[in-house]
Amino acid sequence: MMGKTLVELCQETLESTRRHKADEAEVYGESVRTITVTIEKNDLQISRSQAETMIGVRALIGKRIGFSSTNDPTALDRASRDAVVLAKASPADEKNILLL
Amino acid sequence: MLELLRDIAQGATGWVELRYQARRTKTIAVRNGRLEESSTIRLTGVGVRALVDGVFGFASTTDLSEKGIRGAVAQAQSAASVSASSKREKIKGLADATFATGTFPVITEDPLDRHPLEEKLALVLRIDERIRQGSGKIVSSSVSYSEIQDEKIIVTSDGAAAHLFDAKPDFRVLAVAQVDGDQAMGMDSVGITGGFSDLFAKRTPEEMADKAVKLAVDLLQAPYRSGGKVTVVLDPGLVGVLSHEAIGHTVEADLVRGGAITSGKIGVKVASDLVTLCDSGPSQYQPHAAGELLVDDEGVKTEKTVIIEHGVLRSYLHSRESAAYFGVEPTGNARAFEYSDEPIIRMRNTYIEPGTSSKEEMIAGIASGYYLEGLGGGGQADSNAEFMFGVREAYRIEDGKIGELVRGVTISGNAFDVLKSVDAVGSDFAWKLGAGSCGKGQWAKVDAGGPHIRCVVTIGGKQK
Repeated sequence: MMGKTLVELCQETLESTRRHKADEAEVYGESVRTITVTIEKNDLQISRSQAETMIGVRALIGKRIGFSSTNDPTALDRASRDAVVLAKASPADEKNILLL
Repeated sequence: MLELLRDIAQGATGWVELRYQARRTKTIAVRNGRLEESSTIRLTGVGVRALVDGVFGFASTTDLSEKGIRGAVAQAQSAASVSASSKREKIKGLADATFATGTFPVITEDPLDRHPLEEKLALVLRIDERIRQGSGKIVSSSVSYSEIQDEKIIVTSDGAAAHLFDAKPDFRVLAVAQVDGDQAMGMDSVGITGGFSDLFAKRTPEEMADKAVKLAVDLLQAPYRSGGKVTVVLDPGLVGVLSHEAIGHTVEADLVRGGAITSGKIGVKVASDLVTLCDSGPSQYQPHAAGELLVDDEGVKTEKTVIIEHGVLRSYLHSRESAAYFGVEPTGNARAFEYSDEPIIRMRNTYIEPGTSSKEEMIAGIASGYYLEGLGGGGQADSNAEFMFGVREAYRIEDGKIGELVRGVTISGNAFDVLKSVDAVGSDFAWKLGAGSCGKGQWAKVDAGGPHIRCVVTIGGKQK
């Protein structure tokens, strides 16, 4: 994603989530390359390759939680904002904690 | 992006298809007052399909730079060329088609983005609470809202260049009632193509919740009946399930080539003269069908495809590849769910054309039978058109009048036998299968429906 490492993208998203005033947040990143070959009725149907980087963010405000994810490097701030908006609007639940 | 994709497609060696897709989804799910899911997902990427030496290759990328997309084209071409020696039955070509060009917007006066996340979350929580307050017998509630918004650009090296926008929200409610350990379930759902107020144009979320509660409570007191072969009136929901699950999949041309029951039966009488069954990209008779698709993912402009005309099988559902194989025109049924999926043959909005009877006339003509409404508890159908579906609501018909609610009813049989037994088709019409998605290796938003019909099915009940 735009020449940045996965860790840099995660850090950027975490900082953005803090700016949107989440009490706590966790961010995960995943970069995947897959190759798939499909064979049906003993004949090759299609060969496929895929490359994708995903960033997911979970935001907590008190015991309220929201989640957002994206594969678009230009949408990291919007994902952070969405997670915070969802958390703000959600009911609190005692079970919502980030495990350390 | 359209110009960039067109430049890349026109400069490519051989046939290529490029699809840019930017997707935003929102999902909110509440169970028993507790938020189970509140999430948004933004996906953006380009999928490329190339045809080299009679083999398709596919590649997708999230790198939207010219270099990134050209790299995906090279990967798709490479995937095809290295596979060519392993392909026994080569693709002989792609059928010519009426390609779409221009922009295709979402038709609504109330776009989904006009309603903030907070409003949608508050709605789901409020309706979940309403279900639990609906009766002292309710022991469990579940409500969910989801929406998919797409922007797509589809370009092929042989002429397609379309810019599409799409919006598909859906809403589901579920109530579970219990007395003395005996449980019953009531549900309702709606899914459309369009805006937020379009979603609730037919019935409000409150009406959906109240209906689910009443059904769950009423079913607790409803008796079981024994099964057998009986005359029934099916509502538009079950007509849609039958049309999509039990008939529609058997006419997808890739499954036909795989040996589905409809193989070799074009021109053969397969249903009653009263039955004309279609699959359409545009919504027919009623607006906002959830499977609305004006351009398919091969860039083919969609129309209505008549599958069965007055009882005679007329057409399968085609991609450009299958259309070339069968020597017919493409029907605009090639669909890809996400940018990272290649187009495959899928249904859109599948239905039976309205006839001339009223629902009341059909019921009045039954001495002993059932009025059946909606899919409940799932079901199964296969490429032989054998099916078994749970029924959400079943009412006895005695001497031409609707009577008591009955629980635990299923319908089964061979869908073509059922269609041969149709002796009345209603003049009404409704889309009913818009919530949820159809799975075939990848998801697709579809819809199905039709009028009421009268036919003979095998009812499953409780043996004495």
